[in-house]
Amino acid sequence: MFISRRAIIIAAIGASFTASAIASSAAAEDLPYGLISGKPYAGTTLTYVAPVAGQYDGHAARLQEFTDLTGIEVEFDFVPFGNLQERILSHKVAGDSEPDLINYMDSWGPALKDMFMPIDDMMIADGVSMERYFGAHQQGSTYDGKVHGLPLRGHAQLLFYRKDLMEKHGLAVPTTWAELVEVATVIKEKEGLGIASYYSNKNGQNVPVWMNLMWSNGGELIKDGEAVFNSPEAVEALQFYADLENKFAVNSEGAKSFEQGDGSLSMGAGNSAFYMGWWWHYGSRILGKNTTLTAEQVGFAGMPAFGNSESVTFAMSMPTAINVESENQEAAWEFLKWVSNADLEKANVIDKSERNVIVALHRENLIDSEVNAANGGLQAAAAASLGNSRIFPQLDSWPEIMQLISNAISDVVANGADPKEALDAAAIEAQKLLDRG
Amino acid sequence: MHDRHIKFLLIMPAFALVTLTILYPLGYAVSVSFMDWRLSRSRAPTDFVGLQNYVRAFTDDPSFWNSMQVTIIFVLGSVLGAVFFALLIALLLSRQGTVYSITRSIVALPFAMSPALQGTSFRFFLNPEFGIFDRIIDKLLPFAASIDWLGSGFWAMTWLIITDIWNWAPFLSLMMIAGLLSIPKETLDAAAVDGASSWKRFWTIILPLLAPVLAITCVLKAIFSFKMFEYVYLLTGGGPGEKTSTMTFYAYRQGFVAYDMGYSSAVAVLLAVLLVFVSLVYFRLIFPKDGET
Repeated sequence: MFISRRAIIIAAIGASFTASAIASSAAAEDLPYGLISGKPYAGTTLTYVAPVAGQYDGHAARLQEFTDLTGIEVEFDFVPFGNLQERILSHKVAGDSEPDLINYMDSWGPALKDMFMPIDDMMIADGVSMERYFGAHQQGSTYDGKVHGLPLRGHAQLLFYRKDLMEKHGLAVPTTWAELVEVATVIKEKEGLGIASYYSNKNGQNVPVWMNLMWSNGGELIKDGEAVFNSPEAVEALQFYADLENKFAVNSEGAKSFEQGDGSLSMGAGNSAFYMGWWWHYGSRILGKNTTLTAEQVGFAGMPAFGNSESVTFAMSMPTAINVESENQEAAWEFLKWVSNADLEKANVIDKSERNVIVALHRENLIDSEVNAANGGLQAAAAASLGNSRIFPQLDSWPEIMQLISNAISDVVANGADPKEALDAAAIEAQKLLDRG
Repeated sequence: MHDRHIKFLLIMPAFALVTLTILYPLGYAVSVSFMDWRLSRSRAPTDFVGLQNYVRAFTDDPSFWNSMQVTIIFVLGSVLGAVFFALLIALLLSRQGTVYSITRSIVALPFAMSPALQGTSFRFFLNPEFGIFDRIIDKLLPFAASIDWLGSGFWAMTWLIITDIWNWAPFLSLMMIAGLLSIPKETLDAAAVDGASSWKRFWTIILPLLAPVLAITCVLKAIFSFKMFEYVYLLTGGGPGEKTSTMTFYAYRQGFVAYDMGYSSAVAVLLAVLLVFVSLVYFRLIFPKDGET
């Protein structure tokens, strides 16, 4: 059979294209995390507002992998957490198309959600499931049944204690608040170190600790549109929380005016024997370059239960969402898929060379042996805590209601107000907000 | 162009700048105060609600009344304290000479510092564990060693006032030094020759002659005290409870924590009205009507 030279050349070119297409197709399937092959958004530069935290530093440090895969550049705009809410609000008011991506605290979500793009359809298309997170973290990104962001940072509350001192005095790790008072009394008497409680209402951080007590005692914050956080259970919880300072006197000096950060610094400086709060404080404040403690001296456990009830802890998360006004929503989704992947999170938590990041949210990472080995088992403890945790009510009036409760707690502890009267007054004001709709 | 018109032309840039940076935001805030604008619901003001936000402030919001009370306490404390210490500094430093001149410059330094830095620094200084002020007080006044300086309403307000005095007293003292140096030396010398004691000269000559400067200083300081925000934000966060929640801070919280821009604007406008009254007094003092001294 005669085959012309021309036909051979055409066939060769065709075969080359086919092979290239097959190779390209194979590469497409090989692209991890559901990223689209072929770099359709190459040349796009995304802007991303994120809080200052080691975890996001870790993302930025590993960004080259994403750019190599997609051709998309990302500019991180790090904002101190204290200014983050105002920054996001200013973008909301302005209706800016930038930043393309925003990291926010879940409790702000109900008030901000109309500036975030629902991503359910894209998640389904790319096989991204919220099931990879614990329930509290799923809820923190979901409003009106729609997912508005993927949690990138999230915290469980844990009890941190001086393991060395507990062992020295033959004390068991407390599992209830009453036991905590008992062991703290002994440590305070023998070592002069107390609980680094924090009651300041400066940032509302006193509310979550009380909520742990209150939930564990069977109380609720809001039920069927009614403010019920002045129930007998809630009042009893507040009385006990205040008694740590005013009756049992087991707190460290300064607890009345401490913020959460003051508390963890106090423990890190060796001035307190116990601290209850977000686990991220463990990596950078309780332990770390500027503290005096070693990992061998610090133990951690789930938050104590109140009475004979089970422990119910508060959890929070910080999802990253796509700006609904963004002109680069598809590219932003590519980034969101990459930045939320479990491998990146694991690498961030294991690698201690540059920064001590401990925050993980994927269920698989929280119980991963390698992750826990690198962090002394902290993630496993957090996983246990997250298994029975709850989040703030998803109401747009919640930030103001939380402030009312925070003021009431501070007033009771620092100014001697009566717990019932303080919570009653806060509940009346909260009800007005709820009734406004 | 006629001379008569040139003066209008010359003030146009300044007028435009003031309109852009002061009058427009003020006018916008006033208009928003009559609107329902909850940022959680809308990016822009929605319904006109008339005086509803003002009615809410006066009839249905104990926190607003609390903030007014706190503001008045702060203004009284900071004005009286700052003016008293300024006068004290001025009396010590109102002499001619290189040493006094250098000292006056050094003393004025706190006023040159950023209020944000001052607020943050004082919070560190007062920390019960490592704060330098706390340590010094513990050594000098052992009976006060157990006091958590920001842990009670009384002490938190006291330190808020002290921080403000620390910032303002040196600057106000410069105004008073100028006033003191303008008092005729002959008058004081004559009184001394007549046997008047230092105390008598202060009460009968210095203080009456310094009264106009003192009055202006008080009113000026009151205006700034009403507006003070940074120290509350950084030092106390309005707490404990709401014991240091001033009107400016409360307006901020309503806007940026509660997302209620309409109500926040109403609180801010009420504060502005108060300030207008104080400013009128101030202008009356520095620009007296004909025949007044």
